[in-house]
Amino acid sequence: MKILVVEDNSELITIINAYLTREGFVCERAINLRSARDKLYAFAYDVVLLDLNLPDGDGLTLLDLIKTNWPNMGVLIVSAKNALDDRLKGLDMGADDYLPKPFHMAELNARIKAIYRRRHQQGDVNLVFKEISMSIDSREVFVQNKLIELTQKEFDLLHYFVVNKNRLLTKQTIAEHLWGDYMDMVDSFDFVYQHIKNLRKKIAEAGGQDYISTLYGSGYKMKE
Amino acid sequence: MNLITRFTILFIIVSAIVFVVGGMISYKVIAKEIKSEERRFLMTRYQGLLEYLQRHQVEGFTRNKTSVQLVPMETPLHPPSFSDTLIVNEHYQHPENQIKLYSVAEVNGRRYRIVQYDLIVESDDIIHSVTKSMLITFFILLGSLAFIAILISYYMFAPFRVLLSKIQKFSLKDPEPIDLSETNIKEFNHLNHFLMEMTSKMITDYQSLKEFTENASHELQTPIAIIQGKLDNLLDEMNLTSEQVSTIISMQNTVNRLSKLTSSLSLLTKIDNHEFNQVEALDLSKMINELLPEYDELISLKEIKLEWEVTDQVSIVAYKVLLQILLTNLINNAIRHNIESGRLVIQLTANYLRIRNSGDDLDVAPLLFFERFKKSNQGSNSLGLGLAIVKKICEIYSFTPDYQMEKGEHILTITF
Repeated sequence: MKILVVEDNSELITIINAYLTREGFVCERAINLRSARDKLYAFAYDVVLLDLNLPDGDGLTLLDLIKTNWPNMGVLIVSAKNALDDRLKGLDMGADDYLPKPFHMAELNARIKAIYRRRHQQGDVNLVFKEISMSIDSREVFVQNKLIELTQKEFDLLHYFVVNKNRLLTKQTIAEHLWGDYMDMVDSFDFVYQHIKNLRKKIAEAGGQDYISTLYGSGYKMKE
Repeated sequence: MNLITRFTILFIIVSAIVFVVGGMISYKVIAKEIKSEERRFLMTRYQGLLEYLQRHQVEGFTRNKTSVQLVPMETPLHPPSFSDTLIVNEHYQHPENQIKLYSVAEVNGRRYRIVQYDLIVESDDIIHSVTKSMLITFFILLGSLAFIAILISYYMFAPFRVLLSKIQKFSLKDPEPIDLSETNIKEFNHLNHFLMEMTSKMITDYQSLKEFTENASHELQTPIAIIQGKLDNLLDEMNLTSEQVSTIISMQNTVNRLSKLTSSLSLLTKIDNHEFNQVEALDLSKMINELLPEYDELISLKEIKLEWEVTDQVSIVAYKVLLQILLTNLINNAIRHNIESGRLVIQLTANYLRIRNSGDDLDVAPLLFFERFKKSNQGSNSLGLGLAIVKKICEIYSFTPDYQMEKGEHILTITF
C-alpha cells in the first residue's frame, strides 16, 4: 500500500513514516501543498494523509483536487485544528475519515487500513489471523470455521488487535479507540480488562488459541 | 435623565433663586423710589401752600387733604416731617394708608399748624406688581430655555447621538472600526477621533487574541502529537523493562491530559468569542435518548441505578455540537463523581434539565464548581473544566445553570 503523508511538521512525518513503514506501507512525504500536488501528479497513492494547516494554504483545497482527479484515492484528514466545523466540512467534501491530533499510531494504522479496505476490496472483506477469521461487513467472527458470538465492543476490540497485530497496545489506546471521548481514562481501563477477558474466553471456548498476551501489566499484544 | 434635562432643571432652580432675590431687590428699590417721589410731591404742595398763606390771611381751613390751623405764637416751630398714617376714607368708610406731612410754620408773623395728606402706593401693590412682572419674565425665560434645549438636543447634539448609536451597534467581530464624520464642534471631534482610534485598536487586539487562541490550539497539538507518536514508537521497541513501559504509559497519560486541557481551553475561548453562531432547533429529548446507551457499560460497571424521565420533543435552539458537549459533560460528571451502587436521575421537562446523582459531600459551595479549574479533589484526574464549559455554553444561550447539594445528592439544573 502506498501512502502520501502531507504534513508540515517534518518530525511528525518521520514518526508516522517510521511506524507505517514497519507496517509494510510505502510512505512518501510532502511538507506543503505544492510538493503534495507535484507528487500526486507524478505517482499513484492508495491513501493520502492530509493535514489541513499547511504553510502555503488550506489542506481542503488539496482534498478538492484529489476528489476531482483521483476519486478512488482515500483521504484521511489529520488535523490539529480542533475546529468542529473542519471535521464536518472535510467529511462533506469527500474525505474518508478525520483524525484529530494528537493520535495514537495504532489508531492511525487502523484508520488507514479501514480506508484502504473500503476502497480496494469489493464484497465482504475477510481479515484472517491464524485460525480466526473476521468478516468486517457482516461483523461475524469464525474461530476454526465456527461462528462465535461477540458483542459490538468485543468485535471492535478483536478487530483492533488484528489490525495492529504484533504491536503493544496500551489500555489507554484501546479505550480511546473503543469509546472515544465518552469516557474517562481511568474508568475505562476496567472495561478494557473486562472485554479482553471475555474475548479470550470466547475464543478459547471455540477452540482457538490465546494470542493476546498481557505485557507489563499495562498493555496487550496480539502475537502471531 | 438626559444631559439636557438635567442641565435645564439646574438652570431653572438657579434662575428661580435669582428671580426671588431679584424680586426682593426690585421691591426695595421701587418702594424707596416711590416713597421719595411722594415726599417730593408733598413738599411741592407744602411750598405752594406756604406761598398761598403769604398772599392770603386765613384763620385755618381743611380741604383737599390739607388742614391749616392758626396756632398761638408760643407753639414751637416744627419743620416739615413725614409719617405714615391710616385715614378713614369718607366715601367708602375704609381705612387707607396715607403719607402725612406735619409742620408748624410761621408766615407773615402768624403761626400755622399744617397737616397734609396724600395717598401712597401700598407695599402690597408694589409686591404684587413686582411678583407679577417677575413671574412673566420667568415664564418667558422658561419658554426660551425649552426652545434652546430642544434646539441643542436636536441640532447641536446630533453628532453625539450619531456617535452613541454607532457605539451601540459596534461589535468586535466587525472588521471595520467606528467611522464618524467630522462635526463643527471641537469637543465632539476630539471624542470621535478618540473613539475611532480606540475601536480600531480594540479590533486589532481582538483579532490577534483570536488568532492566538486558534493558533495555540493548533501549534500545541502538533508537538503533543509528536510526543505521543514518539512514545508509541518507543513502546514498540523490543527489550523494554517493565519500569520503562510503565513510565512511557504514564507519560502518555500525561500527554493525553495536556492535549485535552488545550482543547478544552481553546473550546472555552471559542465559545467566548461567539464562534458558534449557527443555531438550529434541536430535539433535546432525542439527543438524550441517543446518548444514554453510550454510558450503559460505565453505568453498569459502577452498578449505578439509572432513572430517567424525559419529556418528548423538548426543542432547544442551539448549536448541536455545543449542546452535545453540555450533555456529555453533565452526564460524565454525574457518573464520574458517583458512588458504587449509586443513583443517577435524569429529568427533562420543557423548562429544565435536571441531573441528580448520589455522591460524596462537597467541602466547598457547589456553585464554585462552575469556575475554571475548581475541583473538590485537586489531585483528581479530571481537568476541572467540565462545568466551566457548561456554564459558558449556558451563558451564550441564556440558560441558567444551578448546582445544589441536598441530602447526599448532587442536583444540577439547567433552566432554559
